[in-house]
Amino acid sequence: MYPIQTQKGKKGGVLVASVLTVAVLASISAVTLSAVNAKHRNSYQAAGWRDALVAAESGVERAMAELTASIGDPNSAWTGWTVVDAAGNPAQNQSIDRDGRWIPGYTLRTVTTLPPQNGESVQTQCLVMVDVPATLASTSRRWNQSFRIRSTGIVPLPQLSRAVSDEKDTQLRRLSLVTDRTVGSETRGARLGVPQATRTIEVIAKPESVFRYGLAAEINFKLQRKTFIDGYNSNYPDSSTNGKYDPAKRTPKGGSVLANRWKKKPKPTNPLEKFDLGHATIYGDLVVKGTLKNVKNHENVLGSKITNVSQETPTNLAPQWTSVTANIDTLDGKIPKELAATFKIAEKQAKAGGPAAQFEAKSATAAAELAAKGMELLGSADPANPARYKVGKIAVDKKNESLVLSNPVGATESWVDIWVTEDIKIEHGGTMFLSNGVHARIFMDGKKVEIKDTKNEKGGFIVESGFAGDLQLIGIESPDQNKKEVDDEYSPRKRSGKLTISDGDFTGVINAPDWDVDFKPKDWDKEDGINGAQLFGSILARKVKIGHGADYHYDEAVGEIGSVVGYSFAGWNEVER
Amino acid sequence: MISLLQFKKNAAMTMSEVLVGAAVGSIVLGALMVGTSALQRAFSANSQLASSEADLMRVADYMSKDIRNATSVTPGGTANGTSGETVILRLSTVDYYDRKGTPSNSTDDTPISPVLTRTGVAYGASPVTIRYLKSGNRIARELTRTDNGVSTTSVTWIADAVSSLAVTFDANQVATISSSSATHFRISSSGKPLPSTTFVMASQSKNQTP
Repeated sequence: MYPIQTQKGKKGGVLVASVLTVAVLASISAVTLSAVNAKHRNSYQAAGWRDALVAAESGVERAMAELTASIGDPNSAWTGWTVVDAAGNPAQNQSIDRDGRWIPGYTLRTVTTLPPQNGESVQTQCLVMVDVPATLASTSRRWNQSFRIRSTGIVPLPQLSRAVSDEKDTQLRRLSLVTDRTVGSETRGARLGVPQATRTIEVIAKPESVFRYGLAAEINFKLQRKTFIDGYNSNYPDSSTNGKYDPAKRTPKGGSVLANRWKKKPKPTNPLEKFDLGHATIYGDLVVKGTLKNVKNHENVLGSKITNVSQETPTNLAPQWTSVTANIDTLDGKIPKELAATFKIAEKQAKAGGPAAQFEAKSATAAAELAAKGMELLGSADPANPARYKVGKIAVDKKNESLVLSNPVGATESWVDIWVTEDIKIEHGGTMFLSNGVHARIFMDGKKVEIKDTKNEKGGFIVESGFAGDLQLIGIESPDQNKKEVDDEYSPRKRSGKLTISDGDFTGVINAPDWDVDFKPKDWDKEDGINGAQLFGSILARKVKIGHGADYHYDEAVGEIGSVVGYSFAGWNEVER
Repeated sequence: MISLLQFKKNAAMTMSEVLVGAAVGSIVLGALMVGTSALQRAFSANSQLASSEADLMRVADYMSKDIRNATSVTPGGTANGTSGETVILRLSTVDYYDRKGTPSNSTDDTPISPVLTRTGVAYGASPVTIRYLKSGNRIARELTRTDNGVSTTSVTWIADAVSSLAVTFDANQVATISSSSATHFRISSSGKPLPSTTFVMASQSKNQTP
């Protein structure tokens, strides 16, 4: 019995010693592992927090891609996105007008799981919401709405729901360890199974208009030494006076010109023709597709000279209207006999300071006379459903003829589209008058538009508001190649038509990448005074010529109207909560 | 037979055996102590290194986040009046929240809707001003916002062991944030310290055009 008891006692001592040793070693290991694990967790959380920003930016890029897709193919854009109301509830039946006027209170929303990277096991997601708050909605001065994109990157964290030891890291990263803190998430406030890092960024996507440059030409432009191009912004009082051009307030680097395309292979019989700035003074930038060797006489460009930049230009096809307000063979500006008495009364009212009272003094008389004597077309007060007139031709070519575009009774603002299938002539004192508040688009579907001999006769286009964006001339691209005019020189873009403005001022914007535009101010500004032809607005055309004596003022405000060619970031902010 | 075995097991060792055993044991224990001490020192140094790297990363994360949001940025390097701190960077960001007249209560804050301006987007009437200050080896982020005409400044210490911190901008307004740790890694207590950890990160404002 004794030896056995002795052996038992010895075994018990070894066991206790072993257990104690293991306990001590385990404690040391636990402390070490705990310390290492804390550092490891900190590293993982920091990496996850950074990944969340990448995921959020991925969401923004996706929304930008959908916005861009909606320009050319609005029906296919936003596939897979859902519409939710202000409370976040699905509203599938709610259609969203993606063509410029968003229904307030509704949001497009999607959650995307991003593909894992090599060695990555977690499912990174981004939650993206797109809407248009009232402050970014379209207005009469800003036809193209901007979009607010809120994107949240969500990265699961592969460790316990425990904060790191250093409070300073917690303050910076604000991780969702126990409850979901994702702004806009359906599960916000719910308990999380896995901790996650989230970061939310808010981006404002602003539309880029075809009128982002003062002058953009597809083939070439030809300016003159006495010409200058500068810029103002009629939306801001520090860069305009009462919304009108003021040379003392011209914007810095305003009025950029874009040489958008270059003929690579002129015919051997023709000399190499370059974009010719003609020593004109350009306050803005010169932007060139290709190199400066494609441009000559550019030493008076005061802004930067930027190379290798181009712009996608729209293909302006004929309108596809399902209904029209009226079909009119000819708009000739002659007063209908049966309305003569009415117009006589209006004339008296106008001379007494009525409708034309706000118009600038030099044209007030003319405006009053026009309001009383001409042919009138009314706009529509609904911007989504403008008045649509399909017209054969416009021929307002006598001093006593005028065409007045007016607001409907009771409205101070209206929209009107005129589709002219043949030529347009406004000359010899004939006038096309846009009343204050009227926003007009004229689709030029003929081959020739002539506005001439109007200055001395106080005619031509008169935009009462003075805002160039209120008159958009849109050159339709002829669908039939045979109907296009072929230049006697090689060009990648054949001419659909030609717009000539001579002996007159012009306020308006021209979107006609297949049309040639020719300003001919004649000789009444040989001394380069301020009485030469004054052009206000923006031009996108195929070839542009501006003759001696024409001063050209780009209104930067028109960059917020017109066809959208893309979107850019106007603001980028990370939301902290 | 049993009693003979017990005798053999209980027999004492010779003096030489004891001395050899003690010597070997001492050597092993000594080696273990030296090794443990070195391991402990290395562990401690690594722990400090990790902490200092976390400090550097945190500073860079704070700064790059603020630079991305910034609407204007001014590099520092100037003394902050008489308080002895150095201004490393000064920048402005938009004030995203309307505090409803109760700046101390964040629960009633609401996001401000953006408004387009000629150069970008505005959120509130007054921008938020952020300054990064360096005092000794400590880095502070000072935030000043204005509510209803009253400015409030809060200071958050974001790192404790940063020996140098600088922000430089290139021609394209890309910021390079470089910082060095004040903690030096030593292999042994008498050894020469290794160069301190340096951390470099690039960032660029998303709201400024070069």
